[in-house]
Amino acid sequence: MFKYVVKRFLQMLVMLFALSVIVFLMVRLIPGDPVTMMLGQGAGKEAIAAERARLGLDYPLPQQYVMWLTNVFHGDFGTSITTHKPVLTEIVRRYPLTIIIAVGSTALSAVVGIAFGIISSVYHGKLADNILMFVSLFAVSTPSFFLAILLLIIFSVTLKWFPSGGASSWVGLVLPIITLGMQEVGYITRITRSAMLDVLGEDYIRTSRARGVAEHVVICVHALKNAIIPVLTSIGLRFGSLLAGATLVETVFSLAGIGRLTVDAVAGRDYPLIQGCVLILAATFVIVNTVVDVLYTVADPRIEFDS
Amino acid sequence: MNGCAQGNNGVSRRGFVGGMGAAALAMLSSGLVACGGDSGTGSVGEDGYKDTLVVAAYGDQDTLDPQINVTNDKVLRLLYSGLLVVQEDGSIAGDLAETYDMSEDGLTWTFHLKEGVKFANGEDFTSADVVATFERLLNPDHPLRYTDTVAFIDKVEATDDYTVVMTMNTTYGAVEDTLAMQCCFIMCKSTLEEFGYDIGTDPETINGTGPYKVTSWDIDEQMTFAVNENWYLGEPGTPNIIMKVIPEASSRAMALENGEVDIVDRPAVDDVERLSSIEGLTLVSEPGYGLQGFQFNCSEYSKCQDVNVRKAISIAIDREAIVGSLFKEIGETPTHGPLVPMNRGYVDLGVPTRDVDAAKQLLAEAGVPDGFEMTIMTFDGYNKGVELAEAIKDQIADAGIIAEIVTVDSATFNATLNGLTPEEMKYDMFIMGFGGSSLDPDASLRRICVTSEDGLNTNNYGWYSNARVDELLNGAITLVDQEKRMEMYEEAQRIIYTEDPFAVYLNLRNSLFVMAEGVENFSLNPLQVPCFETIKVKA
Repeated sequence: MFKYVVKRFLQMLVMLFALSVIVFLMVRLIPGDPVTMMLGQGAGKEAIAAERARLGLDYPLPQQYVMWLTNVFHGDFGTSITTHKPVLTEIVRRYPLTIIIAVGSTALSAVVGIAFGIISSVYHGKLADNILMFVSLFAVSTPSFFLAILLLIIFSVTLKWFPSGGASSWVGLVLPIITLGMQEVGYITRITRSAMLDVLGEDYIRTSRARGVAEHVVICVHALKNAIIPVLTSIGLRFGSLLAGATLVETVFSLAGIGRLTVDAVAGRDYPLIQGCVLILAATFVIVNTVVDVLYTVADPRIEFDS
Repeated sequence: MNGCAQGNNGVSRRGFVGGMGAAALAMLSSGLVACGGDSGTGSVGEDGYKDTLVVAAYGDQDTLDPQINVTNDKVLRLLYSGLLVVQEDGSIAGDLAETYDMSEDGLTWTFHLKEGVKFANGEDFTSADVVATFERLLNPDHPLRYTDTVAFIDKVEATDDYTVVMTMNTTYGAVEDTLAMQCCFIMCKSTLEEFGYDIGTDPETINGTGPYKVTSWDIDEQMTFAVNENWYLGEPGTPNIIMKVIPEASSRAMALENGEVDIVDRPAVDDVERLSSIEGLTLVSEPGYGLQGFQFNCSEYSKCQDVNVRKAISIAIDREAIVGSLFKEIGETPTHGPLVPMNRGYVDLGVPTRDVDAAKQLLAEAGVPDGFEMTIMTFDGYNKGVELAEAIKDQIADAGIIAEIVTVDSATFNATLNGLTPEEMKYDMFIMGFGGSSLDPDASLRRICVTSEDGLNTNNYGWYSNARVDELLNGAITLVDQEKRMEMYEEAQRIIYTEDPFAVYLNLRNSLFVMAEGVENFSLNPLQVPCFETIKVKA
């Protein structure tokens, strides 16, 4: 296990290095220039030239990359071109909020989605299954932007239970988490249902029932343990899309998370900030999926990584 | 103080009482909500007014360094003030300067500073601060965003603690308007020495002579302001301001309906009708924010190089119909010239009437009687940028011109209109906002209309070139005789608008704000910037 985690960590470093090169080149290949974005229309030529020199954009690309990488190894991700503040400070300030929302909606979708999936598979073909399948289809296909506005109108403007935005207290995070988690609920319900249906048809389940094991034990212990692995995999993979989806939710609910930071950075062609954000997001994604892999062994002790 | 008289009851307010909400969602919310209750921030004073004004802004500031800031001018004027100020009627008066005078030859300007003015940190304001501010802005070794704007100043010297003498490189016609701009706001010498180019990033680096000081700033979340007890003009209307950043327009509207904010800056045009129909909310929609239109690519690589083609496109467009349908809710109107009415030297040139036959005639004269194909670039950062392009496309099709619309993002937009050669430019027309950051016509016209010297579209985005316009605009700025100057601008406006069209000018943009019940003394200065410092909010 330990060896496996170390191996994954080393793989991650290689991956992040490759990613940093790609991102570094990509942001410079798309049209647009950070200095003209920063200084706006009508800036003087001298000011533009001086700013380019200050930002080190005059150097050849390989040299710029090496300079940036050297600084990163010293813990310096550079200074944001748009906000004039250290990139790392901004990321550290804004990342926790996005993580809370993403983890919150993952938890919400895991709990509700797995429960729905189990119920659906147990009542396969019956009314409860049909209702839950309809709900999950609705959840998957409702655009989160629409859902966000709908929730705001109902729970914020009309019922006044929640603020319309901001994260001054935990109450402000409820609607964003529901919005973001809703699509996942539908998705995980469906995955869990089909995995459970596969397992419930297995011989050992019939044997367990024949042995007189209580039905809830058969379902929640024997069947679920085997059905959970594909569900875990998809929860891990979907975590990445939650990080991406957070951008929209952060915009509608006026939350200063890393999603909005990244999108604003791209819009402003803020090279150092884009690079910093993408690296942090990618690292999170890899770490989460490593954790999921480790969880496999909990769900199924037969799985071994070291062999 | 920045053109807003204290206690003034505001410019005229236009309440647009809309009819039934069109969208189902709009009806749902406006039907169910009884608005007005406020759970807002802060407390209520003995006089029944709130101690905190909450404003919903659409975006955050890039920096609060006046010599670098490009975001907008809504915040800086709360923190700093300049030597001169544009007053409510558009005239210029001394602000930090008590009096000022110009030498006979126009090359030497003397400013007698107000005594007893203090910065927010308690330090006295003296001529040394003025000198330090301008030395930083004019430093050739570290040119800043606005160094170009004040290039007419040769040097700034203090003759005593309260007298500053500015020597100009050349006679310059827009000295006063330029010195009233935010890039010329005065900063404190000791703060400049302490923080250098880090000024404006954190609250402790911001030290001005304005009505407020920044107490906290979480980028993209909120900025909080507290009264500057040392403000030389007394006390602002409300002691504290919170500026919340709410990027999504519909979320800004909901925050207002919820009573979480008192004022919304830039509601979505589509929300305006619904918001206006909610009791207690007031819409402010004042013309003059700037102009919107589509500029021509006049280079040899575009058919629009031919003046007859540009004229044809211009008269093939029905501005009343386009503006009337797209901006009806907020009452925007077609422009009557290349300037906004509050510009000095503004001439009302009317709205060109649509005449498709005449347009076809002009196309025939240009040698393209059957029309041609062209590309229009647009960007949805402009209000209804895509819809405007589509409307133009439809209308010029009647004259035989087939347009393809290309929608780009903001960075591509900025990169396209900056430093390209004509060969690199792929569009025949592109959306553009017009207007200067001062009332002087020079700020609105010269930079963008005068022939590009190096052939790149760094400022003159569409390679417009008219010898007479060059002569007028380059000549007028060197004159200090304002009457003669304005005559020259009048001629230039006619050429740019009708004889040799620079652009298809469409709508005169309105400044849009929605206010909650209880907001008093809201006003906009002549540059259409809200005077938050006068506002009081009745609880």
